[in-house]
Amino acid sequence: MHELSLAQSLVERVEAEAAKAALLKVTRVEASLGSLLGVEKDLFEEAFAISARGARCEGARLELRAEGAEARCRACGERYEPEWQDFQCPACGLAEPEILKGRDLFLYALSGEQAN
Amino acid sequence: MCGQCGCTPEDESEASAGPSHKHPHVHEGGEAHSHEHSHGEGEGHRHVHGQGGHSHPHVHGTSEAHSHEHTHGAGQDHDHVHGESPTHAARIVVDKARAGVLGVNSKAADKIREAMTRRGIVLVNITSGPGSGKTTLLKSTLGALESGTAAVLVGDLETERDAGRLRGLGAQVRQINTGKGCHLSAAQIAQALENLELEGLEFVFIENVGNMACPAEFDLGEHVRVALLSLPEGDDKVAKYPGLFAAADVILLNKIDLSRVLPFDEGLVKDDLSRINTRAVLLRLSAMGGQGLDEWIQWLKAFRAAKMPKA
Repeated sequence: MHELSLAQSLVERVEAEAAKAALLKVTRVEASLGSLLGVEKDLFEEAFAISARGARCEGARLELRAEGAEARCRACGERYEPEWQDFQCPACGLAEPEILKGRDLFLYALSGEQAN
Repeated sequence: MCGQCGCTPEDESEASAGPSHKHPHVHEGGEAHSHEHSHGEGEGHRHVHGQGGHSHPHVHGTSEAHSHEHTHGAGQDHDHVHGESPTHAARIVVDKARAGVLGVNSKAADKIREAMTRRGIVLVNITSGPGSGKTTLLKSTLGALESGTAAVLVGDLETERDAGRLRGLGAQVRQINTGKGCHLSAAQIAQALENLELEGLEFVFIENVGNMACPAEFDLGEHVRVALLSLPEGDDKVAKYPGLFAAADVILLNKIDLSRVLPFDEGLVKDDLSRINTRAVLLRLSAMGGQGLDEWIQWLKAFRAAKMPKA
């Protein structure tokens, strides 16, 4: 369910970018998933394929990179890498991070057939 | 020699050196010319030329089959790179600053937050799984707040039932049907806020779609994110859905009047929260029975007094 909502967001974005660039068909999508989204890569790929039905990116190859997380402790200022189920600061032990990286989904590039 | 059509390139070494090569051929009427073009390994094509106009039906590596129809005079050479006519292959790189897919929602959310802050209205986003008591909590909350000072935006799949339960309590209620959507987005909230009479409001509550996964990732422009957890759901939910609880400013433990009959280890919830979120306020209440409700209302009012410059 979670994967599907994120995949739908990605498809919407791909469609918008494709329309802007006059891509009639999208054959390849390069994206990254933040580790804190807690998304299963396989499920996400499946969700993307389902969400893309009827869209320009239907059948497109999805190339996913993993994006690591980064946080700054709101209590002591320490920078650290939080995990999906553990946001505790290694310096002060509090779990009050400001998340700097790892909670977004990025669309880096899309390839396809562009109108001449 | 080209393995697909049998024609001989002008320069064999050029053909074998790479994907780019030329095919010399003679058209009816004696016009000879060659085409320079690129295609990947194993991709073939065939030329059937007629005088003046001709077409190339051919199959590319990615199984796109197509033909070109064009006209050129005697002896004219042309170059072309193959793509589906009238298109060509392209790779669009998204500007790094705009690459964040959820960032679009976050920007819309920031706009909402600023607008609500200017008006001194606290926007509260209530998230939880289905059945943990969001609508009941809102009924009790609306009943405890002064009439006309609160409004509710109800996100629901298909039905109007939750909105119906909230009408008649002295608050404006607007239903946002998400259809099959599993969460609300900032754009939907912005639109729904336009249909509210904001004058005189102190609080706008958003009843998010009952779902412990998706709503966690979508900032709706709220000042306060509430995660509701009720005892019947079990004491392992914080560890199972860390995203929902990590994003919360307030965690409400609901249906505490069932603690006598349900095995629910509050210690486990607190232990999990020590790794997930030590910033959030944890309040215990029964939205239906009324226990702990005063503290929740007091917390809301204190938050507004402290954070809203206009209040």
